[in-house]
Amino acid sequence: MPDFHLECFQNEYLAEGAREVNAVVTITASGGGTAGTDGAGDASGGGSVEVIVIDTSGSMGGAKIRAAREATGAAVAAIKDGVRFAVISGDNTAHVLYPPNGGLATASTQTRFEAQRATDRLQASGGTAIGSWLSLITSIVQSEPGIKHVILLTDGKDEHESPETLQAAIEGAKGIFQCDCRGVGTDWVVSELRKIATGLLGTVDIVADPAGLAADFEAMMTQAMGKSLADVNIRLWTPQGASISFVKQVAPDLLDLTDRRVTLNPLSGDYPTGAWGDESRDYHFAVAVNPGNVGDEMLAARVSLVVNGQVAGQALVKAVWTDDTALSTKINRQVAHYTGQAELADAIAEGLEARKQGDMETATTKLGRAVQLAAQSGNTDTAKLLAKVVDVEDPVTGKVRMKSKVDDADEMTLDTRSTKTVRVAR
Amino acid sequence: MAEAICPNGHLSDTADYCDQCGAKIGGDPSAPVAPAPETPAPPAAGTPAGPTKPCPACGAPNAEGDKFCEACGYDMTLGAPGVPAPSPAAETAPAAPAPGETPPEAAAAPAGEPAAPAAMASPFSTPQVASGRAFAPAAWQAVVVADRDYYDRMQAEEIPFPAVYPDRVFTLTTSRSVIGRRSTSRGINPEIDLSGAPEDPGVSHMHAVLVGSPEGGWTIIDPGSANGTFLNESSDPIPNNLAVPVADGDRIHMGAWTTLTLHKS
Repeated sequence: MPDFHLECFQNEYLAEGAREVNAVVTITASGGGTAGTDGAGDASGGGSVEVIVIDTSGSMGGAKIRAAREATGAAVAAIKDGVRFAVISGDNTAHVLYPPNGGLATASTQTRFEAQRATDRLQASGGTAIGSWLSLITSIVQSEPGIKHVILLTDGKDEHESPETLQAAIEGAKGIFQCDCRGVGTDWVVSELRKIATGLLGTVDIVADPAGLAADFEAMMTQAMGKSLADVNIRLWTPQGASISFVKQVAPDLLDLTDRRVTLNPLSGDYPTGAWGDESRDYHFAVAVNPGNVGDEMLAARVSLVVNGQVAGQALVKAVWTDDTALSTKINRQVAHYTGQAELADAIAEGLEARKQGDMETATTKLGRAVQLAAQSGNTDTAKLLAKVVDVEDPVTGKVRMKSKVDDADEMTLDTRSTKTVRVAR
Repeated sequence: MAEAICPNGHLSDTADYCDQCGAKIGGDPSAPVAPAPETPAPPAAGTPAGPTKPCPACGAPNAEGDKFCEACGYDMTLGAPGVPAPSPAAETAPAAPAPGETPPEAAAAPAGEPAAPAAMASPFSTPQVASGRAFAPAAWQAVVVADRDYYDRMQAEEIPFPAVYPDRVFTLTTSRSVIGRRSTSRGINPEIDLSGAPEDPGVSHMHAVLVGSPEGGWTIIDPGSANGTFLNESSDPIPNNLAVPVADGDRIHMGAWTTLTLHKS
């Protein structure tokens, strides 16, 4: 089991009467094993499950399905011995392509070879009903122990089922498995895949060119194999009378966990964080507490990391009221940085939405602000993506002009990756 | 299982901060800390060092984080005058004890000896049964009050007069009763213990000693208190280390506002 280290960044000083306490907590895991055989004996209960689900709707025909076959083969090759896995093809319904009798196979040289042969049979025909794919996976993996990770590939809109069916399938899969979503081409809907990835604690990304799929799948699988610990929760205690404004993962990407609270008692709740390998993530907590008198110190939140029911580490978020405005008006650098990163993501989402609606004035303002924020915070990847959608005149003031012609792939890439954050340069 | 009680009175399973209200447990580190724990009573008297806030009731300066006013015992948490901490040791119920309960053992320092420095050096050793002469069985009481007239004469303005001070009645049960304020660190455990809120900071830990004579009378000796001991409105303190006879009804003044009145029942 990895060692967890929690570090709290905040300005605990509040002005008289102030209520809102902000803190960024960095959680770093180190020294853990990896999935499969390496992790078989660790506290996660041993083993892990990998499922690859490939969209085989009619639109996937041609280069896309060939790339998907190759990518699936590369991902299967990266699965470690001992990991239980399956390959599923999805259209109007889903069915298990490998193992041939359904269920899950145990990875070995033999089964990996068989699975790669089976993926060659992937054929594009039919529609797209992603909810039915998720439901099938849920039924296969829900009784399995350990880390359960799914890679989902689609190229189109979820058009052969109702949004309610998809939402119900997401709800049913929450807490069962994590799902990284990839959209190939430009005919899929960012908000749909984001809904799945956010609900199932995964990532979403665009693979505009099918040729890039194999490398992406292999990287995703390698990363999944590095996870050794399932079911890590953040336990948040807040004092009587406090209200939680939000709980967000803010690095490596934005993930709002506020609504994911599982209440333990009136003062404590758990927030799921999914599986962990050796990695570091940042979380932003905002809590409103009953204001104290000048000189009072109180605990505004106790952030504990709970692994298999055991507290693996904790950080204390404090509040100290002062009449020294020099102390209370400071904003912690980490908090300011991630507040900016969240605003950056919002500005991109709102700017792109306005652009779609034809409101170029709002789009220019919002995307200009995004350019400014990206430049200020050193988020160069996002700045580059923005530069493909707008002509940047001055990144310092955020002066931009809308490009008259924008590539669909560039716009979707910006949309998809708008939640990527960078950390504070230390 | 609860590990701690927070300043707001909650039982908390966590010892650092209250697991109910988040209040810091263990006090403000900037508050004055006595060299050693001074019994459950508030810390040693005097103007606290560090940040202060006035008592809402009497205005006396108190260390931030104090739960009771040092001067008048006002309860800072509940916002009500505090009930004075029960003084341990010699304090008894105000009712006069039945004759049979008066101390039978009663050893006395032999007459003429009470002022001897040797006796002063260890005034709290257990009463010696020395001469075999019986101690007068008459029950004597010392009634301690906050004396406004004496306070006004003393003009100790830096020490506020307590808002609430229930009379304390001590029955003199040994031949020698030390008047003072308990100090664990200095090993002083007076029979007439005036510690506990509201506490007169002008009373020394080891202020004076009442010594019973074999004839049944009492003398008072001030072994060298910081602020002196006064008898019956006198403006001059009694001399140090000299046994001064006291009688029924005599008033012994000490500190800023403390007056003991002796009563023979």
